[in-house]
Amino acid sequence: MNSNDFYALCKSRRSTRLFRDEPVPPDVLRRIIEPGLEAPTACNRQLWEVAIVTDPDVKKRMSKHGDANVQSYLYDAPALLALFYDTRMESRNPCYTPYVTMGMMAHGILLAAEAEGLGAIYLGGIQNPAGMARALDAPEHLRNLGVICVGYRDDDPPEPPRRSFEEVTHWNTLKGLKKKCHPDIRPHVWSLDQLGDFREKVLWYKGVAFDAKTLHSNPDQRFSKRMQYFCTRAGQLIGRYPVARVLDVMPHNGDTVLQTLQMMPTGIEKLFVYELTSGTLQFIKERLDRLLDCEQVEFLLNPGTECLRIPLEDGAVDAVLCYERPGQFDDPLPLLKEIRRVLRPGGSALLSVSNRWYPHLTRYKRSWRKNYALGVNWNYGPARMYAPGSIRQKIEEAGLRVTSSVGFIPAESTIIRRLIQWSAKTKGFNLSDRLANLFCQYRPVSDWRKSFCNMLVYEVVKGSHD
Amino acid sequence: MTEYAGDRPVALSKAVARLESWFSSIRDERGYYGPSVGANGWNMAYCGPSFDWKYEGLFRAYAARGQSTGKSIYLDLIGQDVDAILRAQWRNGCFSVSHFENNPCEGGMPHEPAMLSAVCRVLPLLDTHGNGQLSRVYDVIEKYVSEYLIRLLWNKTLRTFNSWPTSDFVSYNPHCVASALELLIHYAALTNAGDRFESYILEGGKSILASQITEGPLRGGIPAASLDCGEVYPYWAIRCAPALRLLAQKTQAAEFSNALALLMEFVRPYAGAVTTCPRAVYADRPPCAFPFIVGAGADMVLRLLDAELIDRDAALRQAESLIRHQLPTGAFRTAVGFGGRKRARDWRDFMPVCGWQDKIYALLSLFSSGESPDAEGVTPFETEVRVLWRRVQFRETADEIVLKKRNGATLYQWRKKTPWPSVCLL
Repeated sequence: MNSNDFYALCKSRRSTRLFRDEPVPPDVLRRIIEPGLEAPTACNRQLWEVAIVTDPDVKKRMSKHGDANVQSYLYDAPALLALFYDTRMESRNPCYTPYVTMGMMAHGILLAAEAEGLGAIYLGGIQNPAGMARALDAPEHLRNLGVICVGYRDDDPPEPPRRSFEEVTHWNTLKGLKKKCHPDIRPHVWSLDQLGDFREKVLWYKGVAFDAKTLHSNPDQRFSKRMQYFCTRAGQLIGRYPVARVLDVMPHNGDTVLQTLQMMPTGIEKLFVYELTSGTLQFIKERLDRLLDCEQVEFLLNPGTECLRIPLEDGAVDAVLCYERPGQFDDPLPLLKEIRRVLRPGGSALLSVSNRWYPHLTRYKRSWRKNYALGVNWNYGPARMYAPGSIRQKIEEAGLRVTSSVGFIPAESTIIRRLIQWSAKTKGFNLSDRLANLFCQYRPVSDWRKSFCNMLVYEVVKGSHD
Repeated sequence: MTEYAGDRPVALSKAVARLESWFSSIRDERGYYGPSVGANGWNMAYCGPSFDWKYEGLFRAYAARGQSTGKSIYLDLIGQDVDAILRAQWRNGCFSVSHFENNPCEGGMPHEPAMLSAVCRVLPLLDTHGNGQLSRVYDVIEKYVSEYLIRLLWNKTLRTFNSWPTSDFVSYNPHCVASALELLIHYAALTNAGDRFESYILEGGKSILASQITEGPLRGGIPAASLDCGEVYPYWAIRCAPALRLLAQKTQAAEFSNALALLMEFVRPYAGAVTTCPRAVYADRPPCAFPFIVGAGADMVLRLLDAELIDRDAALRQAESLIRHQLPTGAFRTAVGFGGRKRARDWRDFMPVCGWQDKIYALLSLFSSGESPDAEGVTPFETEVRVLWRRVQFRETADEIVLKKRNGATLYQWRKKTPWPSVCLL
């Protein structure tokens, strides 16, 4: 192997998430593990142990201790390499030497797997390392530090966007290093191209396969009551027109498009799908092509990354759908103005945004003072949380008139659900039978209580004389 | 409410005729319209055609009615419904809007395999009827089975079927697996492709056996989710019975017939009167009685009858006991006690749902006489119900369903045969 081969190998390595149902021969497993055993190790302690698992029952036991809800399918891989280190040899230095050592070993294995033409993925999100150790009958002094799934690749992972050499490296000093956009959860520090770039990264990370099999961590959010509610409202709105021309603004990886098309197999003359970046648009296109006949769908790309412009003529569509996207812009006014521009006079739009005042504890802590928040985790990206009054003001500023506003998922449901969960754990005191039948979960409200809902849906119209 | 007069054939036939009138108020060539209310939630927003387990009962009833009345209209309805089902398939094999209370979403379990099993059962009728759909039907089922059921839902490690394309490694739903197996067994029999699905059928069947509780107070029960060994929902449990019976017949293996016998032992206490069947029974606390879903009760009777745990007379008595839940519109109450007690009059109790009415229709059709009285049309019905603590007026007519607050504000309004309600705050 010359140096170029090595560089190409490093560049071509991808995490594989779908494996063929074909066992990996023991000698191949041996060949890919051995380079890992050559990894640098402090004082040559070689504190690693590797459990090679091919027994389905053991895999099943292991999966319960990984991030089972979202990554369990990965334990279907033909071979699992559970990595352990010997805690007796752990030197308690501030550089976490055992972790670094095991990381270097894991990378050796991953590169070797790539060189062998195998697919592999390192799973670091082990929720219960002690449980994982127990599942493998490991002695007490061994601690699990992840699992590598190995097998013959049955997917073609896209090339993940990487930060460049120039962006990452700093000669001689890190002084003056500017805060990058991505670690910041305030949307106003993000430029349009950064937002587009991030959304492609999220798309890649989320890994929704075209056939609707969710390959990574996020469950299909189309099953969320929020999106279902939004989409049925969208159906109501589109249904008002005999044959509608509809624009979907930045659909969630095509989710809202799928919903709209299955609700409205007829009745849509043209469904425009607008996106910021070509990668995202291509993803949506391929996904829809694999699932549905969608001749009436036309894909629109934002021209360049300098400004936000929907490539449609003025008054080109009857209805616009925009699910939770205004929240990704610190100032949604340009987007709202574009929506108004492409709407025909008298046309309607459905917009939804997260509500700042929703008493969700995780968000609440972050959003109370700062007016912005992350979602559940980084994959959702930054989002501005709007108070009902402020987003309404923006909508009206853009020249649109709000005809109805409805809140979704009242706080009362969350409280009752928590009460049920708590009581179910309390012996002899279970409210679930009673309360589960009583309370109305996910009920939209149109009165003052919408201020305490976590999603606000606005139906707006463009005046007929505009 | 209908007062049952006691004249058995007349009362049953009348009930069937009125229910048929109600069905005609929500049906067109695209399918059956209406909201969905299930045990775990509801979807009041999307009311367009949906493709779920409603076809189990509908096809069974249409076949029975076609046979007893000799009228071709029932076969025509089957043909029309099958056409609608064929049109609803996606390129990856699954069907649009098949998630019942989670609609509009595709890929509903056990709805899709249950629907296709129903199609398989009426295929001989379609064949006789000669409407030229047969080859398309086979293509559609083949696509669902190979592209979706086996490719996306089969869990290689658990060796059973998931309920979602995202595999959930640690748990599965035995009643969903049972529906999938029913489909595979029916389809394999139709296509003489027994070997092709052999391993899926056997291993899926074993996963049902593995989830069955074999000792303790819930002995014989099959939990709705394989890991929930502390609670059994009798209705979901008995949905596993047909698959176990088919497996026992197919394999002649004692383990399946024993499991079926054990399951029947579990449901035997409720066999005498399904209206007393609790929603859930627990290992460590008293059962949860409500809600009693009337359609689920009817389906239990059918399955008990199919399993020969009760005879026709007993089934007839139970069918008669359900007639008191028929409303003037012709539809039956969806449930009793959604509000947590019998007299709660929760709005969900009265909201008619096609996916439950079909099961009552199938049961009553078994016993109705050949000639049905002239349909009376849908008589308007109005009653006071509760939405949480609020008193609300519920009204159903031939054209719409409306819920209004006492101050006149509309909470819900759906014009029948339209895909969306004009007002939806439920």
